[in-house]
Amino acid sequence: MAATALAACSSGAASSAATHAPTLNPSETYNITYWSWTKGSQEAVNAFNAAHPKIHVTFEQIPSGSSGGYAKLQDAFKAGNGPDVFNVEYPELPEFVASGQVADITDYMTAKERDMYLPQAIDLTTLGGKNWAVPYDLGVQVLYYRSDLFTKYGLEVPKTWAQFRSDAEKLKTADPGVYMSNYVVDDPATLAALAWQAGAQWFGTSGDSWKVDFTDAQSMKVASFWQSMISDGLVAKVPSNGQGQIADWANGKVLTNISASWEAAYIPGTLPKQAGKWAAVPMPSFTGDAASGMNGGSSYAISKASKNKAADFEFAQWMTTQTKAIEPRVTGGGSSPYLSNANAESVAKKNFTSTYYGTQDLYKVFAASAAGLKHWTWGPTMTGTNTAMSDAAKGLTDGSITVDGVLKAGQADAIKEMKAMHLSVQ
Amino acid sequence: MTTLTPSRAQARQSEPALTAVRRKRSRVAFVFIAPFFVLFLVATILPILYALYLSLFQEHASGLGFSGGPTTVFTGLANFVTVVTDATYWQGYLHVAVYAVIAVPLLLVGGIVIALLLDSAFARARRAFQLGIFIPYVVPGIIAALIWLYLYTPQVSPITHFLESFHITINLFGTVWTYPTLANITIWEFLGYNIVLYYASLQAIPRDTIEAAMIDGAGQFRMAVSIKLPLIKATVGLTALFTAIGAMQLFSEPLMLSTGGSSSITQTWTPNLYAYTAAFTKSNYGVAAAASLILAAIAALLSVALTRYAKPQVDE
Repeated sequence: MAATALAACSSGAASSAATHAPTLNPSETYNITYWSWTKGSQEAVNAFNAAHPKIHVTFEQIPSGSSGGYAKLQDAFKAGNGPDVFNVEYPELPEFVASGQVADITDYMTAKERDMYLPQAIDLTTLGGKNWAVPYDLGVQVLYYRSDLFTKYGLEVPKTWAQFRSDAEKLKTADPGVYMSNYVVDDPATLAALAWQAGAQWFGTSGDSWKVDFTDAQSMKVASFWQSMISDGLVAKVPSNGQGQIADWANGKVLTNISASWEAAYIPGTLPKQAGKWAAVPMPSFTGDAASGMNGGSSYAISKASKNKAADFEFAQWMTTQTKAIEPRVTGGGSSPYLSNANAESVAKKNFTSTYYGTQDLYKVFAASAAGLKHWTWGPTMTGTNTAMSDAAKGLTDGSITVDGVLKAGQADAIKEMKAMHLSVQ
Repeated sequence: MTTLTPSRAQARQSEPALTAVRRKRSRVAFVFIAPFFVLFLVATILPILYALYLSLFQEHASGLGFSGGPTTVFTGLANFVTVVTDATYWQGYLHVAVYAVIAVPLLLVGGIVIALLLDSAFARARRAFQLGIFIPYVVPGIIAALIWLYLYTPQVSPITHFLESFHITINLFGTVWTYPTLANITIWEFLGYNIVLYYASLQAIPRDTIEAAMIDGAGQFRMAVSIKLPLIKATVGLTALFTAIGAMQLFSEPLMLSTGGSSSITQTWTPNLYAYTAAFTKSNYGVAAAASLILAAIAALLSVALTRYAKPQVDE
């Protein structure tokens, strides 16, 4: 288990930390802190502590990343009392790395280690040629829909975006006031995932320089699809991520939830009275073939200031691969991650049960979606850029901005922030 | 009041004793007010100095940004230049100014009218009204904003449902309603505070003055406008200052509405929100510090201007 990884590194803390990773001393006890918001963390930590007499992990629950968790982490690091291990999603990892908070774990992530995870996951945690985090789950895109209401209105389950649109048009005539979705693209993470699905590349690197283009052909295709949905009155006029959207789902006024694999664990809590009414299929695509971007998905990062990096890595690796780490989290449907490690994924698939979704095999849907997962690179400004896009998207409600305007606002913000940090941007 | 003036000889004798008493008294006074000054230093002065320090630095990286972390570079006034040349920042002041024009007069005039009504002979159940009016002030700003957020969200709000039954569809999150909805929340929160202050100073008006006015034939309305109102000018001036500064520092209400679904309030809508986003979303502490210091300077200038303007009336 851990011995194979550590054997690859030479021992001795006296050797320079830059080229040799510190190793675990078998006679020492390690106390490490872990902060996260991901579901089921406490159960998994309890299992780890039970299985590791020499490493004790103290878990602290923090708000979800984009709702203040990342701000809390940044402030704690700045004050010098951040955690040893923390969860960070792939869009925000480059930002944490660029601010110097994350430990370089290239020496721990040997070829054998890297092979334990899906290549796309390793890709998203490799920046500047170095490894910075251990991948946990991938937020592959999933379309959740009200199967009962689809039957009522005679809608076909869409495999293409054209079918999605024709369903929306059918609804408009059948029952005005009921819609397939809300604006959807006013949520920047969803907009990015849809562009990703279509094959866009917002960020790229050319040598030592960034290339930023939010308005490439594929992104514009997504923008014009959703803009025409908005302009033709085919979307519910309710913003994403608010109480209004939840109320519309609860009242059957919006029939789909365009989201990702982890959402399956949240829906029962948000809409408890709709058990048995929600179904999941892979996200429709423009061509009808399997295609997916990612909305969310987190990794385990070790803080640069941590004094117990070997123990931290041991913990991160255990949490992302071991059966005992995954079982308590998914049993009962408390968490529904699509995992990047093969063993962990098979454990999750086997143990995820949820009376809410009946006999559906959600993990089969996740795997089908993941089969079409495309390549993507994140830039180092996403918390700020997401806020800029979210602010710009407020104009979608009264038509003062179009979806491509939102993309342009995001691009302008990313370039501005990168230049403010004196990074090289083409 | 009659006083016994001591003879010169007696005065010369008691002077050292008086100075000693004065010195002892000021030492005792110092002990009592020291805690305030210590807290003031630690919680207000030192953070301002730290913000000044932070505003002079920037984090610079190079290339892709993944080689080790940024370096902190002394950049002098560069952060201030960034803030001052950012149109979004100045738009924040415009938003706050329009909001203040709507909310401040309502808070002052509304407060005065209600306080005068409470103080007049017509009022019944004064304590109950006072308590009821003051309770919203006790509710923390974020909670108040959350309550009103629910009341504004079209799909959830009982207000919207009530209006729909009369076939009136209003989207309280729309751009047209931005200022009224914001002003509504802050007036609900702070009217009680102003009323309590006005009512207290109305109670301080000597009964003789009121009785003299009644004997001269003044009715309740005349008494309120011509007698009571001029006598509480100082309090009105004070609350005007607090209300204006509060308007400039508008923060929690637009933050809640912005993240809760408002179609027009962005996360940089007021100067305080701009600084907050710079610090906690973009982790750009230099810009956040610069933006906050500029806001503090402008608020200070405004206070000085208001105090100068109010002074002639206070001295009367």
